[in-house]
Amino acid sequence: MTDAAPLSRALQSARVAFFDYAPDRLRDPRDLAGTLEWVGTRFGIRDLDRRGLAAVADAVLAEDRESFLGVFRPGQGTARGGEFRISPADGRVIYLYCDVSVDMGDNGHPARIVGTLHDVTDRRRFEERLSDILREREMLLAVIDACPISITVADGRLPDMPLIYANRTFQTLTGYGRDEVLGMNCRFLQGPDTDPAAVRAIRDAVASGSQTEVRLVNYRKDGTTFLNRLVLAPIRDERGGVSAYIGLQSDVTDEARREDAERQRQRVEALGRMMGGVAHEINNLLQPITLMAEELIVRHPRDQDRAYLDIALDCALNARRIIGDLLAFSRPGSRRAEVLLADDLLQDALVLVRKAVGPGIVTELNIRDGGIAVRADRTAFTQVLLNLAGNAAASMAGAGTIRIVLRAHPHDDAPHAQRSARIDVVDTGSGMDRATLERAFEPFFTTKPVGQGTGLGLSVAYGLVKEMGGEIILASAPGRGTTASVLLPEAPQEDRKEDGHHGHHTRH
Amino acid sequence: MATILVIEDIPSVMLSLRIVLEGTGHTVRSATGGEDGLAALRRGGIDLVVTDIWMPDRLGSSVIAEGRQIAPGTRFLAITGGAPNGSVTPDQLAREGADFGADRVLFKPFQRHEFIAAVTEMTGASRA
Repeated sequence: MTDAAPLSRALQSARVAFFDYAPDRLRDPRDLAGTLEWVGTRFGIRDLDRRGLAAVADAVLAEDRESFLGVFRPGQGTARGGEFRISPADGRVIYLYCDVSVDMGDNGHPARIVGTLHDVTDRRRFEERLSDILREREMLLAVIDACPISITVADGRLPDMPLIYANRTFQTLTGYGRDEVLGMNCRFLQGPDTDPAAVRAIRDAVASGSQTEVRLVNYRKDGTTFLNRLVLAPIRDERGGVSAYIGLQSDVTDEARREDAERQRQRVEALGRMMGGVAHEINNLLQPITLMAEELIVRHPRDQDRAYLDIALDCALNARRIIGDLLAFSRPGSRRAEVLLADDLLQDALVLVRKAVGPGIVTELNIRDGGIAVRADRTAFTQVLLNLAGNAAASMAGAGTIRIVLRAHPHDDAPHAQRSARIDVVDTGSGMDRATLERAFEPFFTTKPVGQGTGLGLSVAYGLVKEMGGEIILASAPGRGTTASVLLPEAPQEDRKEDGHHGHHTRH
Repeated sequence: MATILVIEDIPSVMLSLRIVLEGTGHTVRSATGGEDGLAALRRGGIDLVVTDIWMPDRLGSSVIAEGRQIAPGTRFLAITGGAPNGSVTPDQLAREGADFGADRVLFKPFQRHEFIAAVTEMTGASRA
């Protein structure tokens, strides 16, 4: 072996070896015997000087042996390269890249193989790590794509922040395909009912590069709306600039509806308690006014000032009527509930309702599901329907059609829970905005002009229906009319036999 | 004419009831609370008790329950203007039964003729 010391040192530090190999087919037809000249690093291979190529062959990992032999026993061609791993005695694994040039002898076998071996371990390791990272990234993308929350990414560096990513849930939620939305600003989800304040909040957060959470009405591709709880979070680059915005969207329509209903229930109940207390005080004040005025009228029937007493008494009786309405809203247990078919209840009540709503209003009754038995008080139910129909008539300015629909209403939460009779009172009137809708059940809340109605109609209806174990739900939008739905739970089977023997508060 | 015990804690209400009852010829005894009322009932001679329900010392319903033990032949007319603020919940009221254990209930403010009709009927029945 030649020892060209400076060259050898240079090759060693570069982790490169140069070799010149002449096979000796006579000694070993496997081509591993022969003369091997080696300059440069030995990669920790033992006995290289003594055993030559056989020492290299022994260091090659078993699974890479074919690659190794392919380089040193070439079948055809005169130049080739290959890669194989060796594991020298210290247990490390080294990736070697081998580049050779082959001189073919007259007998069709290589006469001389000259080449270089290059340690490419670092590069291979890096590539392995890179492919791990890529795999991980792909897995993360798959997870994000399958995530049940809608996720979008908008590029914060491009003008108007176009979407550069939208996961599958976004497509399910909005109905838009990925191709339709990438490159667009997310505001295509907004529409006429979107609260401008929420849009402003988004704009402000983007302008200041801060995180924000808003609820806003968004539109699906098919034009239907949903309430979107949008979390917008900036992603910053190493210089602190906003490079992207992540948007998390969830449909909170049902959640918001439940929250609204619960808030409304609590408010109405608090008001009911307060009204009950006020009514108690007022009733006790009205009692002596009423009795004493009447007693004086009886004692002085022909007094010239009797008209004054009549007026005082009249005022007291009017006050009693208003307080009575209030108590209907807050006083339970004073009604007589019987088990009745919802259809009968409705038919009976409609007789009065038709008389009350006036000649310009047509009432249409549509019984889709008959035969549902409910526990209800006839008078109270009639009062409820009168109040709802009265509001419907007023919202249509006294002319139009009120549709009344009776149907079975399945229980929301559990399939085995009791169903309800649902009575929808549908008008095509002016409708209510959200603020009005929220306060609609409050006592004394009215949108009618002063002197028309006390603002107790819906409160009383609410109280009466609650008393029957049911509820009233309002759905309305300005210009789209109102649907007031009365839900009365179906009476349990065992209640239906002992029909009509309840709640007498008079014993004789 | 009958002897009627009125149990009512509000003086103006008491006065108006007394005026009407005495004007119809009845004898009125008055008590300003449940305990006073039961003491008067123990002294005997009462045909009819007209009692408020929501009184500071005890509920009219419990006065009626105990009063029936003391004077089994006496009839009870409950008068009420509803529940005062927060002291008793409507649920509680519903559980106890809306008639408070009375023979009849009048909701305040009732009119003179309603009151007289109820009292006449109840005192007439007690003598029958």
